[in-house]
Amino acid sequence: MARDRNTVSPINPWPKVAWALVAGVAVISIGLGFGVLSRYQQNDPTLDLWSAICRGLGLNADIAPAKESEPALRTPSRIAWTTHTLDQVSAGDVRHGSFIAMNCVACHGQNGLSKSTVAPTLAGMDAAAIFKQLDDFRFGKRTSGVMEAIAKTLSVRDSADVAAYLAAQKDRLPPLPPARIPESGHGPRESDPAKRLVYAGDPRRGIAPCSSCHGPGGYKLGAPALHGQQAAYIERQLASFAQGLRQNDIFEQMRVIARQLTTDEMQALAAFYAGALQSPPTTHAGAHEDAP
Amino acid sequence: MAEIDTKSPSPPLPDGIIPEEAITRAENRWLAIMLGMLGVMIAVIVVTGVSNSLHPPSNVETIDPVTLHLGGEFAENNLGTAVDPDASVTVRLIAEQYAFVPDCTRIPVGAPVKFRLTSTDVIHGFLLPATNVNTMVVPGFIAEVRTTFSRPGVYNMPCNEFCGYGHHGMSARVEVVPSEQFPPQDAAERTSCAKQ
Repeated sequence: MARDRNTVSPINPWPKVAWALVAGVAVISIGLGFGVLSRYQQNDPTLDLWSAICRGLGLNADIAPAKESEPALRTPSRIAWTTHTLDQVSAGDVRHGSFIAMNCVACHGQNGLSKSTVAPTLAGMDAAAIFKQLDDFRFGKRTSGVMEAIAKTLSVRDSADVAAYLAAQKDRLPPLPPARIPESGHGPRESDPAKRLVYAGDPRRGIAPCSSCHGPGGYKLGAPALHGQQAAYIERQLASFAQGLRQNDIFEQMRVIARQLTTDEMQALAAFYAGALQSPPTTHAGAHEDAP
Repeated sequence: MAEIDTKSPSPPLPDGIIPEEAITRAENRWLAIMLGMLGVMIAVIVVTGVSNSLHPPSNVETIDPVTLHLGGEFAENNLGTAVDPDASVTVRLIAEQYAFVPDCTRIPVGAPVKFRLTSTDVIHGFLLPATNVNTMVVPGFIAEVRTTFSRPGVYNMPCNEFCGYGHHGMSARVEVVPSEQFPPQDAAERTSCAKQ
């Protein structure tokens, strides 16, 4: 106790020593970090002290990329998930959407439950995904004779409305964001190749699990729900991504993966997701009854 | 505690109690050892940092992560390996949940390489084993790393910053090839070894 009481007295040197040590460490670190380490640029001349400090602080204007010639611009989609776009999507009016959706019935089925192998089921599809695909069709980013023509007749507002209506049909594709429980019990040693790809992916080929974006468990803006989708449709889309016939996925999200898949795997995945129509995953039990 | 009164003439200490001077000596010894260790560790960091160009990337450039694909430096068709007029190489990559784009990068051996990366969503990690390349890829910022590959080979680059559910599947590679396997290319050309 006697020693403790002395700690604040002016004779006790240790507080000063401690402060001096801390200050010393700070000065040395700043000196090393700004003055020494940041000056050395591999493959480029060493920076002078002042530029090194500015660069370290992010104050330098002359660090822009070299102005080299760039290839012609080709954008995969006009949609960027800015707050403006998200506002447009969420402003969708279900009532007005239900009128527009009457045009979809011929191919996408009553209430968006497709019975054709050409057209995907849209009931319960994420509104953002429908909105994006409609925009891509409208501007030729995704090709389809029929859908391009139809999308051109829709305004941005109409797309948001019809997307909101179809997303509200909750009786088929599972809703994406709320079902965030990953399905457990599937690892990379899973023997069924489709289940392995869906729940564990294939790290050696750089394939992330399908479920990390398409659910359950994971979600990525613009990714459609797949459980209960038409098998032929899924398989054809995977093949189109792999062959570059479809290129409207932002930053090759699907193309990178589809190129690695074998035809058998595409088939198995499509069958798996279509099969989910009869036996829905336990996490969505009751969320979608069998088709009428 | 209280029974140790420094002002009184020191009474014989009971068994098992070590005199204060001995404790102070031991503390000072350990303090010196600790400072010595700190000094060695800092020296190791500085020496390896300077000699192997292993230092925190000091590049601070900002970019809007949401609209990257609509144009500018990280538009889809500007990704990949670009050869600059001075035969140095600039590689532009996108890290996104859950892939690097392009997922395979081809680079000539011995050429000065500048990697420029950015993320579209969350923080990813970019690391090439056995090289000085190791940086975080932070959305909103452009990460820039410089290196030179002295040996040809395939370098695997798994994402080394947990980025979400599909993190373990996020992996790409860099193929460093002899320069004769890297045909000369136009200034506006971008190459990669991603499957087409």
